Amino acid sequence: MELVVSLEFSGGAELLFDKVKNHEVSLPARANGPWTIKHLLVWIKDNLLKERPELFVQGDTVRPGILVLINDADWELMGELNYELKSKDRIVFISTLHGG
Amino acid sequence: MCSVQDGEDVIPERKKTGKFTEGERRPCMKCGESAAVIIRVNDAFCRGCFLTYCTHKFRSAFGKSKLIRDGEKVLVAFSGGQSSTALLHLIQEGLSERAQKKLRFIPSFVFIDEGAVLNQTQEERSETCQQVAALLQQSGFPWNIISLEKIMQESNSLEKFELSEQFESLHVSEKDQEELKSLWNSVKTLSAKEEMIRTLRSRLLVSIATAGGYSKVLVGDTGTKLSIRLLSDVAQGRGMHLPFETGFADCRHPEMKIVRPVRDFTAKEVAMYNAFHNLQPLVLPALTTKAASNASIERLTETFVTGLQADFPSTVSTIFRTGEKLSVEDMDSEVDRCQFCQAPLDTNVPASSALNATLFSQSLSQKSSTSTIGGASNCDKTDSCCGEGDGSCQTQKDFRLTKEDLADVLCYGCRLVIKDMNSVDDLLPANVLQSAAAAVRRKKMKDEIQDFLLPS
Repeated sequence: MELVVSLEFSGGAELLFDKVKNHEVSLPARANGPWTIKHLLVWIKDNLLKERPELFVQGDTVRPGILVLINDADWELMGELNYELKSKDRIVFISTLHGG
Repeated sequence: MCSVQDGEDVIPERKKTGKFTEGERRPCMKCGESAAVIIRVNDAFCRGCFLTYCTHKFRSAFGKSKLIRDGEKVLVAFSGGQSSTALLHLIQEGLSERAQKKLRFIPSFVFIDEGAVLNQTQEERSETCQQVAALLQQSGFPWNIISLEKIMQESNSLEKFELSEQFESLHVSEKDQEELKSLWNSVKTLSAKEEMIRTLRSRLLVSIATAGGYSKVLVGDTGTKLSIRLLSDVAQGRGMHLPFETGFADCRHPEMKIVRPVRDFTAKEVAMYNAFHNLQPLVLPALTTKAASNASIERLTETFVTGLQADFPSTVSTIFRTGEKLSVEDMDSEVDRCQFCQAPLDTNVPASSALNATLFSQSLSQKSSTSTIGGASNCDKTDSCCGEGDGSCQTQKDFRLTKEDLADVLCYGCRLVIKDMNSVDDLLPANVLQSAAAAVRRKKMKDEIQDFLLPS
């Protein structure tokens, strides 16, 4: 079953995504286990990122200085990379770095 | 009191990441509702409590410092970015009728367009200005937009600064534009460029504020930004100026104070504040936008600090609080200042110092035959006069500053920036060169008459 989530990039992070802030994406079903933020990051890197991936992801997490909000709440409260995505979740990435 | 015992664990607290399961979301530490943001290691706040905490922090910054009087006119520097947007909103809230303890100053906003140094076209620049104008217009406060080129003007302060109601077009004279461009192109490294633009920007802000009759300038530097600056300043030879660069109030200018009311906020808090209030900060490119993490010293420091902060959430506050311990004695107006950044000179040091050692090895490695310790240059003196007397004063009429002369009246950090430039002749803003020339002449005169002065 496909999973529909909305992604939002701001604070300069959108510059790496052709300056498009809002993305409605449907993620294909995963054979082994549920979708987590960790998997989502890999998917974003492979499917949405237009340039300079190292400015968005580092290792298997986001670049330090980029905040992640899951349904308007700090991802640190939600288990960070281990959060399991649900349908219609809203994930916001905000860059707090100088110059985006 | 500090009470660390031998053998006690003094490793900074690492971030905890637990597994999240539904219904287990941590409660707000204040009201018990489900939390929305983690501020420090264990402090979780719900949305409402977080916003109250922000407003309180902002107000108490003014309350504690007692720096701004009731009814005082202040100029707020607005860049459109995250912290400026939050600053604008916090001021708006603080001045509104429903605020519990109203702020009592009268703000005006100014945006400095730096499109020229970012190689933007006239169209791009005016588009940026339109966006900023729309935001500022919405706020209902008086505002204006000034181009960075204005810094190249002859006089030390702008003739006048008027607040405007609407944005028509950016007024840039061709001459200023050319001059700024050649100054900019002569600076080679990105680190020096960043230093240069920072100094130019703050000089321009001060001169705008002076022309407009203000005595305080508010800027939106966050704690995160200031701790990055603290470390990169040390790396760039500005250790002496840390209290000015990172303190609540920068009082290096005799008549003007630069105040940093959001310095108790981290970048995360500011971004969260904007997100919760649905504010959309502008994304304006900076020099290091999309640049690699080692593009400049500041960028590298930023990567270092934010990287450390991700694992050890007390990084920023530790750097910040440590920096706060440094302070300056009250400066009297007599002290010699750097002619570029206006901070007190840090180059008046005893002969056996790191600075003089650096200068000495520099002079050894250069081929010059004359010893130029201390940066003094021996130029051929031609008999000419300032025009006041009979020629005996030997002041050169056509006074041209050499790089060495100029370095003499600059602080160590600014010397490094100048050193990075191809030449300084006629490139720096005219008012800088004028005041530097005056300072050099004064210094030379003082040296000449030194033997005749009574020891004080």
